[in-house]
Amino acid sequence: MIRLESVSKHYEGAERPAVNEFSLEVAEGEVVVLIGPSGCGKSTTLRMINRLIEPDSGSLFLGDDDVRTLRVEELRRGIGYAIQGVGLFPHWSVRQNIGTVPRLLGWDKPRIEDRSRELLELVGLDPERYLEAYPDELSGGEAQRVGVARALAADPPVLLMDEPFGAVDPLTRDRLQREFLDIQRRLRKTVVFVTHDIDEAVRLGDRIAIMRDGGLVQYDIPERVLAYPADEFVAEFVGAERALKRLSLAGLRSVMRPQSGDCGIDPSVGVNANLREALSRILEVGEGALDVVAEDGCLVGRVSIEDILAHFQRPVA
Amino acid sequence: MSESLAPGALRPGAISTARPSGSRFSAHKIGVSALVLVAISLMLPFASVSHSRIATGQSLQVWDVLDLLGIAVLSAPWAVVLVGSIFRPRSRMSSAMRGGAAASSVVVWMLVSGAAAGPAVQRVGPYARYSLGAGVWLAGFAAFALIISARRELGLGTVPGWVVTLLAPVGIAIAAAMGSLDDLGILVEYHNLGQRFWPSVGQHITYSASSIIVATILGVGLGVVAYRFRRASAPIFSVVSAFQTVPGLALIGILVAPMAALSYAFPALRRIGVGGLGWAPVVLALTLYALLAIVRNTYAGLASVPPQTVEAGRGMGMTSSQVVRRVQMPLAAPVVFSGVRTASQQTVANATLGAFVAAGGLGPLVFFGLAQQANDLVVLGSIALVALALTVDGLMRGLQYLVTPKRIREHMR
Ligand SMILES: Nc1ncnc2c1ncn2[C@@H]1O[C@H](COP(=O)(O)OP(=O)(O)OP(=O)(O)O)[C@@H](O)[C@H]1O
Ligand SMILES: [Mg+2]
Repeated sequence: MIRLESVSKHYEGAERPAVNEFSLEVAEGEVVVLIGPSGCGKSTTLRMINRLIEPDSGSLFLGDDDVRTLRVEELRRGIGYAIQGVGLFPHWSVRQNIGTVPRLLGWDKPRIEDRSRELLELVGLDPERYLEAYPDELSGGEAQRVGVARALAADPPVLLMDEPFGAVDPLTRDRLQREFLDIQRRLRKTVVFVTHDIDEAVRLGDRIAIMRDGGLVQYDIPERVLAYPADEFVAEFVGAERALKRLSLAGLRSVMRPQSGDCGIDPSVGVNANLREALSRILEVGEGALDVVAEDGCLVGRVSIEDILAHFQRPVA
Repeated sequence: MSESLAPGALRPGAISTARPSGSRFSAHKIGVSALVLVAISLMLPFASVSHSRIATGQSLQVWDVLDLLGIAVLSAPWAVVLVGSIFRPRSRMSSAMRGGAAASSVVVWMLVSGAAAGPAVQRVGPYARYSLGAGVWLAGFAAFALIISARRELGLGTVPGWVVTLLAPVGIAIAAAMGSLDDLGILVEYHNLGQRFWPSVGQHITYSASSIIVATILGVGLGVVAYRFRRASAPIFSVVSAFQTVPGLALIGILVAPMAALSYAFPALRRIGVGGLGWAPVVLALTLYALLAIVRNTYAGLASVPPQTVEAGRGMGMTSSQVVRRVQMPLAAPVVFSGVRTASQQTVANATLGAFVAAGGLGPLVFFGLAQQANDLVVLGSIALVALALTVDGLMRGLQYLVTPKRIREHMR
């Protein structure tokens, strides 16, 4: 869906290129997370996709079209863009902000209004309360939601999101991430998502692209990035806890030994937990193994430290 | 520019920010200062009476001109100001008392002077003139300061704010229209001018307004160009700044020859009045003069829009002119307009220079008055200028309020 072919960008006056011979292919309906240290060229890469920045060399394709063959405004109106630092228009209400692209596309008023309401509900904000609010009346988290709603407004197949959940507290961030996953399950957009935060990348990304000094160091599914970091840099970047992060990606269901039995058992762990939570629970209880219960509280299986270890030792496909 | 960026100036309902903190008992500072000034003003000459229009006058103290009753009448409004300055001076009631009393005092002092002038003049002779003395002007200044502060405390857009603002000018206009002030030297000059006064005001307004309109269109355009095309900005700024370095009179002088040449070359221009003398060099000079403030504020206003906001606009697919029109200009509007306001003030003042190229306006009244040492004529012209400048300022503030997007406006509260 999106293809970058050895794209480079050297800003005037900079001592080295911000993006250097960078290639990447994003499949339709996937979330690719660009991650790397500050200044490694993530935003630059993203902006080249919607031509806010023109590359010095290389090509970018959207579907089968070279982005340079499209009229730049048309291209951008077809790509949702949620910007680093929100960038809502301060003189416009939430309704007007969300309606930015639909207005540019010439939608009529009632349709824009309906769409704005629908999107506010989608991002978990009450339209009655927020439709006529202005950006300075919103909390950081609310503003970020509106930023996401604005990016989705004209239902573009492609979304570019530059640290859309950057400036919020961990709890709000967690909720925004959950909602993002929820929305993405329904909408199946092709998303390029920039973040600094490896946990966010692991959680949201179908694939993770790790960048360093304008180049691509590793491009893979989260489990493999965690299990087989390409080099020292990636290993360090994903952090010393990468084994635990890997555990948080695996569900308990695939690891536990199914059983059936009584209800209302304690101690136990819920079947929807991930391996990391299960391990934590096992350590807490201190017995080496633990009963697994379904939502109704009835026994559905049992999991031991050995099971978790065995899972961990299997190669990641 | 610092003034132009102070959004508090637009705040309806704003309370004076110069509020003393700390002590609970605090008299109103401006009120007390004004009262001190008025006390001093009563010691200064109240009037001067001369044998003729241009003769040196003899100063008269307030007790030479008025009896005790008259002095009591002069003092009455200021007693109200005193009460309003010390009794719960922060309440709206007190603000209204101070503002209303100060405005009334202006009218009262004029009426008292008007009434005293007739007898005073008769004692001296048939061509005698009665001029207002320094004391009256000082008291007027004190009243003006109080009115300004009261109208801010009451709120610029509110009914009491308007009443306080308009009470003095309307009161004086009515008194003058009813002939109560006819014996004052200023009014004598006014009547002597006969048919010439109001057309002069009209010309002054016409020159100023057309220069401001042209300068606004041109200046905003140049400001946008300077902002959008970095390479153009240095030349644009050096040209518009260059006009400012030439003294206004010299600029008009420089334009006389080329305008004359133009009108010779193109008779069509001559037919609409373009020539070395007359309105053409004045309007042109005023326009060039006004450009800098407008170009500079347009540029600064556009530059003050956060880069993310601009990038959001571009990233959503706005064309560059849509970004300017829908995002940057609305956000820059308050700053741009305060540039226009500054330029208007300058323009109204500079338009007096039209006197030197026979263009009319209020300039000739002032300059001829100065040349003939006819002080009342100078004062008449100056008052008209001040009134015009204040009116323009008020109009511009109103316009600025209207062009500011609703949300940004509320930010200013
Ligand atoms: N407009 C610009 N002009 C010149 N240099 C720039 C410009 N934008 C970015 N750079 C430089 O290019 C490099 C990459 O910047 P970029 O914004 O792509 O980084 P990033 O990975 O998004 O960083 P962050 O995580 O801090 O947002 C940095 O060294 C930055 O200083
Ligand atoms: Mg960035």
